[in-house]
Amino acid sequence: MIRAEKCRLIYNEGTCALETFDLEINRGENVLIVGPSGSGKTSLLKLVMGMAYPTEGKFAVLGQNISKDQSKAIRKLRTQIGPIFQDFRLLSGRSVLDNVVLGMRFLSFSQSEMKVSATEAIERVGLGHKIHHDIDRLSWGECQRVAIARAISRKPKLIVADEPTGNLDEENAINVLKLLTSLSDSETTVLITTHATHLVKHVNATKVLTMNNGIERCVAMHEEL
Amino acid sequence: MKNFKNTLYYISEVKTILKINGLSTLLSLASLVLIFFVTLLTLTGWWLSHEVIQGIKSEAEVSVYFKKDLNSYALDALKESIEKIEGVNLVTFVTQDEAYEAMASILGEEAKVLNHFNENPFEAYFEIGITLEHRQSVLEAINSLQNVASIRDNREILDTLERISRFIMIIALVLSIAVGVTTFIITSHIIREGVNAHRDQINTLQLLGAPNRFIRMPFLMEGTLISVMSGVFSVMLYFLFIMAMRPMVSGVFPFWPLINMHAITQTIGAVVIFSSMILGGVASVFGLNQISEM
Ligand SMILES: Nc1ncnc2c1ncn2[C@@H]1O[C@H](COP(=O)(O)OP(=O)(O)O)[C@@H](O)[C@H]1O
Ligand SMILES: [Mg+2]
Repeated sequence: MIRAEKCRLIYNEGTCALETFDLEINRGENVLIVGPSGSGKTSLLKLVMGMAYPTEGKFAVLGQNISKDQSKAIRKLRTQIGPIFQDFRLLSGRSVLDNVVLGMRFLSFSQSEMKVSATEAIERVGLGHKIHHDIDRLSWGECQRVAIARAISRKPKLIVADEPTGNLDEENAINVLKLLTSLSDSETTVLITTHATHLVKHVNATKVLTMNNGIERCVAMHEEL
Repeated sequence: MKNFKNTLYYISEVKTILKINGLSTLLSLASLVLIFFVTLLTLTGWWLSHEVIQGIKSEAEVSVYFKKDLNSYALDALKESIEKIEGVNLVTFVTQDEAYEAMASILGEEAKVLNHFNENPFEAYFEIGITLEHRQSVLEAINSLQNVASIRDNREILDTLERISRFIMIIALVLSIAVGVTTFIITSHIIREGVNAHRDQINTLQLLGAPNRFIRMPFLMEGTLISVMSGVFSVMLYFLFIMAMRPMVSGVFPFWPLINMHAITQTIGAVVIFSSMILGGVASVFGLNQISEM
């Protein structure tokens, strides 16, 4: 699913965001990526999304190499990923349903399949009653759930969520983490980053990646606890 | 079905994009309509001048003046030799008096200037109708005849008209190119503005894996639509203009009824609309090229 070999990420102006690391994440895993701000969590997800390329070594997602000369194939790879961005990247001036459907229009769904899958996803995140509401009239938490609905409606092989706990209070943060981890199954892998280290024990993940200027350690969930 | 499932979405996107820069789009459209309109008129001017020349050419006539003091035998002989030349259709003898009358009728009111002459200033001549393709050889053959004093044909007028026509053609060409370039610049600029206003949306779609064709389609449609609308509006304006002008111009040339104005305006209109569509499409693709990879 995700495989990195002697991978290293240095940004253009010289910041080393990820020190050399190896990594293997398998299908159906549920991985928590934890670490303080600036430790490289988002950078790791950028590699996964093909928004950044490894400076050294190899990084592959679903068998697709992440490198500059692969931009066309990477665009294709992204159709199998359900991203939940830190700032959600929803389109303002449009309804909840429009936002979710827009993420599916260029995939192989028919018109009616799109409608069904979008509605199911919106109901799953508990926004069924606001399906036709304008995005601009929703709260931060509601927008986050729209972003989650957009990700899962696409029926992706990989779901990535960047800092979904954001500035939520503890109860809501745990709820959203539980919702996200519940999305993994034998076909679907889930990656979640968070700086809220103390919440890890409330969540049921298969692996925990601890970050500090790169991946410090990667252990199975039961070892972490 | 799959290929059409996004048609409505594309259309609603086009509406959204158009609304963002509504006023500037409207102004661009208006200026495009105007320059298209001027081009339409110039193209029409060129075509008409061409038709007028054809009209004049088709009734090519040559006046042949002969040496003074020829007796009637010599005149008949001369007439006969002219008639034998290949390409000569009809030879008519025009007497001094007829020549006078002809000029008087051309001058109309101004004919009184002719009263200043004590005697008829005009000479008798042969009026010869010739077929166009033989013009050169006929003129040479007549020239070589013994008793011919001089030949006057309408070549000079034709030459002048042809020079004017070429001039209009050059203006029409230059204008067409200028219009093409302007349309290109304006359309791709509109597209660029639209792309800039939608940068976030475009980036998001790229991150969700949307193919370029999906991302670009609404912009391509927008650019083509604006350009085609300019073409169509200017052609409508042009048709109205031509209809209003027709009563004023008809009758200027004797062969005017022979000119098929419908064919001219419709052909030019169709060409302009078609070109505006192609231009709009190409310009949009050009404007879209600045979308960077995310
Ligand atoms: N686009 C970028 N250009 C240069 N440096 C960056 C960029 N993005 C992040 N960094 C740097 O890389 C390091 C890791 O950042 P990031 O991956 O965002 O960490 P986190 O998500 O864990 O807070 C930080 O030092 C940050 O300043
Ligand atoms: Mg981050």
